[in-house]
Amino acid sequence: MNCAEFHQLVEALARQEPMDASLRGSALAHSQSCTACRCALSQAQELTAVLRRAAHQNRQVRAPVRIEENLLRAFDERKSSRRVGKGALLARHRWFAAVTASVAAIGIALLSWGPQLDLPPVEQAATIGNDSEGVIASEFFPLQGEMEVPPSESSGVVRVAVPRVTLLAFGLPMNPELAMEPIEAEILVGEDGAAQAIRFLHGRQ
Amino acid sequence: MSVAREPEDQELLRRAATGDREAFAALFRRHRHAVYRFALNMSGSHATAEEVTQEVFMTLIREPDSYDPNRGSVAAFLYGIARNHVLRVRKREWRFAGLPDGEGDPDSAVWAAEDSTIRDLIRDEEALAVRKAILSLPPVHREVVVLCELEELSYAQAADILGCAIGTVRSRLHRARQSLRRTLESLLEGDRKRREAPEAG
Repeated sequence: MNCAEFHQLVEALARQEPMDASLRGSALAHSQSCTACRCALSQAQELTAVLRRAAHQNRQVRAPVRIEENLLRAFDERKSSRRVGKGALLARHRWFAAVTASVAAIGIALLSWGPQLDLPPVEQAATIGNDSEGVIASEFFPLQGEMEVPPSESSGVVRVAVPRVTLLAFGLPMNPELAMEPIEAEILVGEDGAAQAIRFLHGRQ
Repeated sequence: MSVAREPEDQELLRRAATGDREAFAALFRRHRHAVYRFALNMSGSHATAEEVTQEVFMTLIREPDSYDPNRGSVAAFLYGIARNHVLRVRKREWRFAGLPDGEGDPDSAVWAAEDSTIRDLIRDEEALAVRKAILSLPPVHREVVVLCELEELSYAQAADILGCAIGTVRSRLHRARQSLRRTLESLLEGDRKRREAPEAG
């Protein structure tokens, strides 16, 4: 082993790092025969001893207790603010659901009371269906109890906009965040002027 | 008889994220001193160490999902946050304090001016000189000395924390120790001369 090779190993030797036994042996043998390298090893070992004493003192350093107190307080506050946040959100959802359900009920009631309404001229339902504008129509849902959906020849169609929450009343899925957004619907109006069925047009606002 | 096993850090972190106060407290107690010491040894300031330790664990409170187990241990994650915070705080302090007008690194001055427990712990000149010498190192060398020498972590653990190869840790430590030795000799020599001066006069 020469001095340059020894120099690469001197810190590892001084720190007593695990190393190949033959490598260690030849490094130590070199240090015995080279005064400069022996001195370098001695200085490195001295530094190791100094640093170990410093490490021993270092282990006695403790974080102040108040940090834990502050953090646990922050943890509790965070937890309670999340709970309050969730509760408020839930309350808002409940309130919102109640309002939208009322709106839907009123809408449906108004539709059911069709004869009293002065409905505009009707369009033909046949023109909608799955049309070329990418509008997809749902099936017609009867509006009056068990009544069958009347044949379209005997009915007129009125296109209206209803809140999306109305979808729920017919068991259709709805994004709660868009509950009050309008969705276009078509109402089948019988010869007597009464609203008989409704379908929803997806792809129209 | 079975011995009750302490929950792993990851398990504690997972439970803390669901609002388990005890899990958070256990995780904090397990790592607080190491994080605090690391910040203290990197900055030389108790105030900074306290601020950094608090910020490290506040990160866990605010962003419990920020830990990625694929990127290393929880301990390495905490040290990593601490390291970033120390650098940020030091930058901020440098910006406000400007360049040092006295001798040596401003960190050394901060350390020397410490008033409380650490002064009690560092009673002898050698220990104070070691601290000053460590603080005089550039941060990349300082952190390997703090981790491998003061915290006595393995090269592999230090590499995990620093996000570098084991060989990089080894070579940085090699250079850091040589630099440290020169600085220490100079500091201790200075102390010796100061002690001898009054006697000569």
